[in-house]
Amino acid sequence: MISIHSTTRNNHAHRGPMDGASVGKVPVNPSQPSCPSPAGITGKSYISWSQVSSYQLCPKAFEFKYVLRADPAFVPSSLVFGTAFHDAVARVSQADLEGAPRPSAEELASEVSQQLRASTSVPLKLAKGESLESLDALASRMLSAYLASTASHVEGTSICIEDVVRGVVDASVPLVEARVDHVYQRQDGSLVVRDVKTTRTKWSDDKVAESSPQLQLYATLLDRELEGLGKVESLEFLTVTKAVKPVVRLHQLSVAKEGSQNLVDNLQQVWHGIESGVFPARPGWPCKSCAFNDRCPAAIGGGAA
Amino acid sequence: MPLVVNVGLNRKASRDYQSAGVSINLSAELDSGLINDPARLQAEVAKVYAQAQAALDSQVQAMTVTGTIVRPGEPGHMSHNGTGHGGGDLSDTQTRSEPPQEGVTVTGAGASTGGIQNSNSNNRHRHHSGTGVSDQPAVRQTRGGSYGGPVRPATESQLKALKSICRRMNLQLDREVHEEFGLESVDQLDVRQASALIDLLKERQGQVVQPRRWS
Repeated sequence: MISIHSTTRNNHAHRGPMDGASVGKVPVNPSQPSCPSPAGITGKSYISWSQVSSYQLCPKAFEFKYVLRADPAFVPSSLVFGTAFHDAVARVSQADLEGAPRPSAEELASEVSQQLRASTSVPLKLAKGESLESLDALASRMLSAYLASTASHVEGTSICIEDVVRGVVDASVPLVEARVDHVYQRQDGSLVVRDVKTTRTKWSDDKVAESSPQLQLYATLLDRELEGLGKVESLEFLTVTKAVKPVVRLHQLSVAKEGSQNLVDNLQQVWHGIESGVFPARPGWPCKSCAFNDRCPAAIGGGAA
Repeated sequence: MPLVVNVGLNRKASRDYQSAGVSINLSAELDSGLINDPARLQAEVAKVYAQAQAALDSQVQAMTVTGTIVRPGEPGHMSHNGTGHGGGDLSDTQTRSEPPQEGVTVTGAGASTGGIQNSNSNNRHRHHSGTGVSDQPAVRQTRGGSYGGPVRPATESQLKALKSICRRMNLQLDREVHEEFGLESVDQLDVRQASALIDLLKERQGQVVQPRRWS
C-alpha cells in the first residue's frame, strides 16, 4: 500500500530532529505483515530517503539525529536556503498548474528572505563570508535565473508538487518515504519525476550518476502509487548553481531497468546496519557542517574532546 | 477509429452521522462499427455497466460483511466521516445515482467530448476518464484513508489547483465534479479525473492544453 499527500517542506532543525509534523497524516497500511518497522529505533514506522542518505554519509550522525534524537547545535544556512528555494520553485510550479500568473522573482526572493530570518530555537550557521544580505541577493539571482530558464517550464501537466510518497519497495525493508519535488505527465502519458537541487558548482555526469538512486527510488514508489495513470519513464535533476551568475541546467536520466535490485540491495544494507545498531563515525568533509560535531569524538575540526 | 465508452456508478449511504461511499469508473474500447448499430451498441454498453455493477457489488459486499468497517489497506476499505457511532450499511440505504443507460458518453478515441450522449435532464453527468482507453475498472474509495483501487485519489497539489481555478472562475468545485463525473464530492476524485478536470477548466479559461494519452 502506498499513500501520497502534499506537505510543506520544513527545516528539520527548526522543528526538532524527529518532529514529523511536516509530514502530516500519511495513512500507512498496518496489514503489511512482512514489512519490518523501525519504530522501535527511530520512532517512525518508515525510513526516508533523507535517513538512508544520512546513514550512508555517516552512521554516527544518523544515530545522533534519528536514534538519539539529539538537539542539533545549529542549522546550516544551506539547509534553510535550500528549503526556502524549493518552496519558491514549488510556488511557480503550482501557479503553472493552475494557469495563474507566475510570482515574480522579487516576490519569491522576499519569501526566501523571511524564511532565513524566521525565529528559531536553533541558531543559523552561516558559511564563511556569508551574510543574510548576501543570501538575499543570491536568492534573487537564482530565482531570476530559474524563472528565465526554459527548464522551469515542464512539457506536460503537473501531477505532484512537493508531495510525500510512502510505500513498500521490498518486504525485507521498512516502508520508504520520499518527498517528491515534482511529477508531471507528458503528452504521451508517460510520467517524469523531477528533483530540484541548489548546488555550489555545476554537476558533472559522475555527480548525476552518483545522485541517481534517489530518483530511481522515487520512480519505483511512484510507479505503484500512480498505477493506472502512467509509468515513470524519465527522471530529471534540475540544478541551479549558487553563483554570481547562476546556471540552471536540466540533467535527464532514464529509469534503470536493472536499478531496482541495486536499490533494494542498498536499502537492505542500510536497514541491516540500522536494525543491528551499527553506527560507526565516518570522519571526513561532512564533519564541518555536521550539527552534532560538538559531541562526536571522531569529528574532524572541532569535535568533542 | 475505436469507440470508447466510459461508465460510472457510485453509491453513498449515511447513518448515525457517518457517511460512506464507493464509486467505480470503467472505460472500454468498442468496435467503431457499433456506431451504426444502435441496438448492439446499447447492448455492449449494458455489458460494461453490468461489469461495473458487479465490481461495485463486490466492494459493497466487502464493506458490509464486517459492519461497514474494513481495515485500511484491504480491498474495499473506505474512510468514514464522523466519530464512529454505529455503522452505516450501504446495502440498506444504497442509492445509485447513475442507472444504466444514463450518463453514458461514447466518444471516438482522441476526442475530448462528443459522440452520443444520453442524459437525464435532472441528472446530467458528463464523464471524462481522459481521452484514451483503460481496460481496468477503477474502483476507489473516498479520500482520507488507505485505498485499494488501482487509480489513486487526487494529489493535494491537484486539489489545491482545482480550488484555486474554481475560485478564480467563480465556479463551485463540487458542482463541477458532480457534472463531470457524477461524484458527490471533490474528495472522491481520483488522480486521473483531477488532471482531466484541471485541463478542462483551463480550456474553458481559454488556455491551451495539450491532449494526453492515458495509459
